Amino acid sequence: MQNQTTQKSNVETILTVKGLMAKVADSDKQIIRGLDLTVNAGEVHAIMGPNGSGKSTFSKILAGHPDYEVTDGTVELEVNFRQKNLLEMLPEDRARNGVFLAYQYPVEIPGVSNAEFLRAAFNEICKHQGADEMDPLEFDDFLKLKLKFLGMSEAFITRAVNVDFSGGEKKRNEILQMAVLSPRLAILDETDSGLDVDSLRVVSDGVNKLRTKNNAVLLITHYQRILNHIIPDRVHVLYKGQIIKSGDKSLAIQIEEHGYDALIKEYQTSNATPASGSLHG
Amino acid sequence: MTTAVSFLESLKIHRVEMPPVAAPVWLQTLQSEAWEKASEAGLPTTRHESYRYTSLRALAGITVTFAPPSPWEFLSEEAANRLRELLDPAGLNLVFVDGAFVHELSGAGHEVDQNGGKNWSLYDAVHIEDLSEALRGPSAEVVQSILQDIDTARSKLPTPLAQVAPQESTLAHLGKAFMNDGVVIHISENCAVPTPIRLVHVESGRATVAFTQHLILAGAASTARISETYLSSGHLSGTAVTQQLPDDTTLRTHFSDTSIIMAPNSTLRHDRLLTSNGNLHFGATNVTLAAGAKYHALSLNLNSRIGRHDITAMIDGEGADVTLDGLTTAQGEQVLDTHSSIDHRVPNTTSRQLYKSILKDKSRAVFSGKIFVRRDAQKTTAHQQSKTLLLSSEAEIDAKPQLEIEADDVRCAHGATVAQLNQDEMFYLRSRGIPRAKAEAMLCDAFAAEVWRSADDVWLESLVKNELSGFFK
Ligand SMILES: Nc1ncnc2c1ncn2[C@@H]1O[C@H](COP(=O)(O)OP(=O)(O)OP(=O)(O)O)[C@@H](O)[C@H]1O
Ligand SMILES: [Mg+2]
Repeated sequence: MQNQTTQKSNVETILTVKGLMAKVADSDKQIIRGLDLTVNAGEVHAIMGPNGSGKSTFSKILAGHPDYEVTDGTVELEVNFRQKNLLEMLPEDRARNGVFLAYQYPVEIPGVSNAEFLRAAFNEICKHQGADEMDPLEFDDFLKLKLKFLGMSEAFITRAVNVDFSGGEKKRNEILQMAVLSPRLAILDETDSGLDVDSLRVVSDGVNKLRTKNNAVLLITHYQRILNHIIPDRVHVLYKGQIIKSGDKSLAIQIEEHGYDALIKEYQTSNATPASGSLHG
Repeated sequence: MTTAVSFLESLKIHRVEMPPVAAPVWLQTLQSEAWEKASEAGLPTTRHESYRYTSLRALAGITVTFAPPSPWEFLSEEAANRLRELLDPAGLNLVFVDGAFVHELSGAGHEVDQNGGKNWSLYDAVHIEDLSEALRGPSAEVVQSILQDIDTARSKLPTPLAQVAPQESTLAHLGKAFMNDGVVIHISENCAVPTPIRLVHVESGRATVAFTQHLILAGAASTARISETYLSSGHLSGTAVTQQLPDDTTLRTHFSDTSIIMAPNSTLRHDRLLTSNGNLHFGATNVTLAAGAKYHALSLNLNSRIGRHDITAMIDGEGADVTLDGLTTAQGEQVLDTHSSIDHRVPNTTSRQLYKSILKDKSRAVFSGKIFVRRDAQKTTAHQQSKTLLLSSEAEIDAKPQLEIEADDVRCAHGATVAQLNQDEMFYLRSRGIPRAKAEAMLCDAFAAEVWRSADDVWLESLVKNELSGFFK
């Protein structure tokens, strides 16, 4: 194993992705084609990129979605100062070890109340960390605090998970889950899309509140707008399953103004043969 | 089939050896006629359409033993205490152990008048009598008229709804031939019964054959809630719900029939819970509705080796309304059947049905839902939905909607879906840290809850939840 390969530096690396290749399971359709990414504790990384470039696929692979099969490369997650092979872990174990994905399209679960769902998830993580589980009453108080902090109505928690929620409400519900579970690595897949100004504020406050020197955020977005609220340390451009350019916040502004065309052309001319090597940094 | 006959042979010995005590002539006639019909036809086999999946071969190895006259005395102290705890403190409980009535535990609450130990009344809203008394006393006429009304109503069932081969009626005839235990419930006109009436059946764990007959008369403009529960011995011994099938020699067998006459504008909520793990249960409900009557039934068939429920609603009055909901859970090699028939005979009536099944392992369920709309029954609205969740590739559902519509101005719809657990929902839950088994249980629970929550009955809910938590584990 690669436990020993951790860089000798005072920054802790939470996520290390190397040469990741992935395809749709039961098909030859390759989506991720050599992706490299290193995320350190305390950092926010934004991932941008045209539609269909593989952003959601990458995030779902990190969460362990069975629709995709990793064909090459490695993904490591830091767990208690050790680098663990994330790809070998079950989805539930990834969550218990701090990986959280706010979905681009959250799933509706008829008949399961939001409160029941959140408590079950919260208690699983408590159990994993050796902490006491909360009973329904205790959890209710805890949940109400979180709702208040996020400026969300209590009606949210009695309703079935995402059922008949508006698009914006579903996104807010993802943030509520994030606030309850306080993950080590939060991946937000276009959580800012389709949000009104107030909801955007709720989402960015939620993320900023979570932000400490011990955890990290991967923010997938199409818009520069949210990056005014959540200042990213790095901005990456994903194209055809590869990161073709990385930079600081100014890269997002550049994309907003000029689109992806120039970046893609620049990449294509400098890379006659698509390689799996690292391009960013 | 020789094996099947031996069950009837064995029952016959009981008929000869234990003739009903001091049975009046009408009853003797009724019972011997029923016995003749049953023994002449013999038991149905899987060649008969309505028994295609319900093989009665398991009856073959059964040595017929009826419960002793006071089964109560044979219960252990612990079991008796558990039984007391099971009862609804806010309900009027009528308790049966191995099919035999336990007066000592029946009744409840201070409002109940227990008159001479064998009958109960709650204010004047409801009068309940032990069937074995009623058959022989002054109430015999009431009993006879209910039985006759049901018979008449059933005889008008159109061919597609009626059981065609004589063998398919054998169990019903057996029920009549051995009719003795049960209650007669008479709900007074214009009265709302303030507490639920609980027909609580439990199994002691002894291998017995039981026959139960309940008769319910809902007076005009009355309102009541009646629940019938058939609970396995696991509920008494305090042990967890058993999964494994007991060997044939210890099988409990229960034949149960509930016949209901609903007078104009009466309302009845009738829930039926079967959790007869590993045993054989054959239940029937027959209900006739006069104008404006509202019948709402929930049939919960949770775990039996063979558990069958035939429910027939005969709508004879305009404006009457029927709701039949059901939930089936089966595991191992259990076979659970629900056969519903609704006969819309007059104009302007409504019915709706929602039946759900959750099947594990190699279990099998049948939902046969027949709706008949007569030529005169214009403006009928009838909806039927069946939804099945298959948790194993070896489990099987046979969902058979059958609509026969003779009227032209009607609104009828039916649908049947069979699905596995939704993988997107599963992944969503798991990606929040909830392990696979727990996620499955949550989704199954949610699927089932849509049905049982409609009962809106805390007492019943706790029994159901307890049973389901064992099933989903
Ligand atoms: N399960 C799947 N089966 C088949 N194709 C898939 C599957 N999942 C993703 N794809 C394809 O992979 C490509 C990348 O999809 P993905 O959803 O990751 O893009 P994205 O970058 O998130 O796009 P957007 O910005 O529109 O959200 C698309 O062409 C998509 O159609
Ligand atoms: Mg996407």
